[in-house]
Amino acid sequence: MTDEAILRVGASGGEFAVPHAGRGVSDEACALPAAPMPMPLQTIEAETGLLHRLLRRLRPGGQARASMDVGA
Amino acid sequence: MGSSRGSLSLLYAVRSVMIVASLLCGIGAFILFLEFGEATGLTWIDVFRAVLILISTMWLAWGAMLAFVGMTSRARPPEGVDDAPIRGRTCILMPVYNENPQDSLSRMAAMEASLREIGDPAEIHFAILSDTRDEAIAAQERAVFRRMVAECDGVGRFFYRRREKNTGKKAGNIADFITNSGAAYDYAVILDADSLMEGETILKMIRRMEAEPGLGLLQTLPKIIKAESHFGRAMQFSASFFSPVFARGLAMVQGRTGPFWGHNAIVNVRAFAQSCGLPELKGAPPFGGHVMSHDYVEAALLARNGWTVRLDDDLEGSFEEGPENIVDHAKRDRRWCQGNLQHLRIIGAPGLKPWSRFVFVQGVMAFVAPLFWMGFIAASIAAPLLVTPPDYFPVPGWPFPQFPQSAASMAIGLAIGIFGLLFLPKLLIMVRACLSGKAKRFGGSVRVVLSTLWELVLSSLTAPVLMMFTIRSVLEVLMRRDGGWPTNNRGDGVLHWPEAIAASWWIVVTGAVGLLAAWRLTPELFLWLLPVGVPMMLAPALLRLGSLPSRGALMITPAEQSPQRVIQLHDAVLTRWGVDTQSSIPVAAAPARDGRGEGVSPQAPRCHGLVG
Repeated sequence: MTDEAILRVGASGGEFAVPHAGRGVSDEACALPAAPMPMPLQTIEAETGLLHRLLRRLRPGGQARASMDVGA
Repeated sequence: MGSSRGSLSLLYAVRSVMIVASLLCGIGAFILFLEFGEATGLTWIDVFRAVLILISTMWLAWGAMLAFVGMTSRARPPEGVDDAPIRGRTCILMPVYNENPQDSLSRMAAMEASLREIGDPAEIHFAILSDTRDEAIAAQERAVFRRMVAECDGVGRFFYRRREKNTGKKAGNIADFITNSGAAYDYAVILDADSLMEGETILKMIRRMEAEPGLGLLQTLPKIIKAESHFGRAMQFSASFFSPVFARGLAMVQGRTGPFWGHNAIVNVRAFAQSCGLPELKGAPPFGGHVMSHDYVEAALLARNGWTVRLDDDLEGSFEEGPENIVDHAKRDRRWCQGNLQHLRIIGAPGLKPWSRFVFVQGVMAFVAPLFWMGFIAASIAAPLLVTPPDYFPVPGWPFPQFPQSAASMAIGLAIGIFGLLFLPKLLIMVRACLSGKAKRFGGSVRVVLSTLWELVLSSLTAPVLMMFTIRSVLEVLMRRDGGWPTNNRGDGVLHWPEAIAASWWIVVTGAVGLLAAWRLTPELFLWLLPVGVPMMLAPALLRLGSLPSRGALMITPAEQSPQRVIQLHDAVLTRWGVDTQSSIPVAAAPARDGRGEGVSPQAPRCHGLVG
């Protein structure tokens, strides 16, 4: 299907009256440059909040122990 | 150094004054209400209502304080920066998702043309980042894109990329760009599909980023344009006339921990990559899963890493489009509501600046506050059912009643105070505009006064309806449900009666039940509740009438009076592409000024002819 036809048919059923679709522009020429940059995932949830600690202590078999035991 | 310390001291002083003033307003309302309740014998329901009044008044006062600070301060643009040579490379990113490609890409073509008109002094690329799921729309995107590139001779300047999976939605889309192509750019201007920015504004943003290497993100204040309906034009007027003052206040109080609204902003790519990799939250949506309101989180993460995030509200030439009817507004709010409530999971994240945490609280309050108001109203109506009525014959055998001391004046004073916090900022902004001459840009003083009063009427009528939509959104999120709004897919945004009724019948029922209950249980409150109950009962009419085209002479904005150059360029691109702009802006009739004092023709030539 030509660009002209695609533009006229349209997914939403609406007609787009574009007089001349662009030709001679290859997909490769319009691809973004390959220049990777790392984007490390951040810590955005509280792991050490009061409520969190309390819930972990209350959880049966939880790893956190009462603070009295910490120094033992 | 001294100046930096001085501005920090000013920042802390402003924050302290605002917080203390809001607290005082809240506590004042709390005490007044308790005294009012004490006159008839204090009960637990009075204390409960007083607490609700305390929280609600504090929230209202905070908004009013923002306006007062905004009115009493002036933006100070950085000196000697706005014409410096540009060294870095910038990419303008437009994430799209099933949008009409002609609408979104025409904006990109207009921005490119706007840059060419001013000499195009920087290396700036444009990237369409498509997350479109519909194959037919994706095919249109590619076709419109190829056409745009051919027209603008834009090979090597315009780029198109479509993801196979839209993981992480918009935040994931941007992250995908950074991880694959980020190293090629110094800065990225992040847009929405309906964003439009003047080339000159884009250049100013880049220059400010270059002048301040510690600046991680610079946010502009987008003004709403091209609204057609009564509701849309009221929002547009509000965004142009009132919002800049509130934004000024916000810029003052947030300082270097500024806001990010997700679009019409520029980021330092390295800072963004280093700070803003968002993991999925544990658990299922709505509180788990990908971060929905990612912009607030990204701003907080940049600040956590020591980058400055700033709102430069002095930058003009930044635009967006808004919802044309209340249902579309409510749909958008539903999404934002879920996103902001999700921040409850993030408020406690390690290392965040205290002010970032406070911003999260404000975001939550924006949606939870209506619950407090509704709770107050419901508790007031139901009070006779919950507590024993006062005993007017406390002495056995004594024939004469002991009536409580009247506290009506106190109640009226409290009501006036609360309405004052709501209306006073807008009225002061109106007076200021008339005195300063700014009113001319909005059609003159008379029109500004009438427009402000009309806006107050409209916002008072729509507030109870919007409050109900917000309450429903919050409850749905808390019950882990998805919203189910009747959809409106037409471009004109007009709601027909069946759609308006389907969307709001439950608000009518709630309003009618509430007023009936007040009539039976607390008749003394009935009149006071009419301003809330009547608009609720008229909700379908408000939805329908608000969505109809507006041709009034009020609510005029500068963009309507004399459209900025990029708006004219956008209209010209649409006309050239054969798209009906349906604009009320008389583009072809009146040549407008472009901000440089020159009359410019709205019939812009094609990209090729714009330079030289």
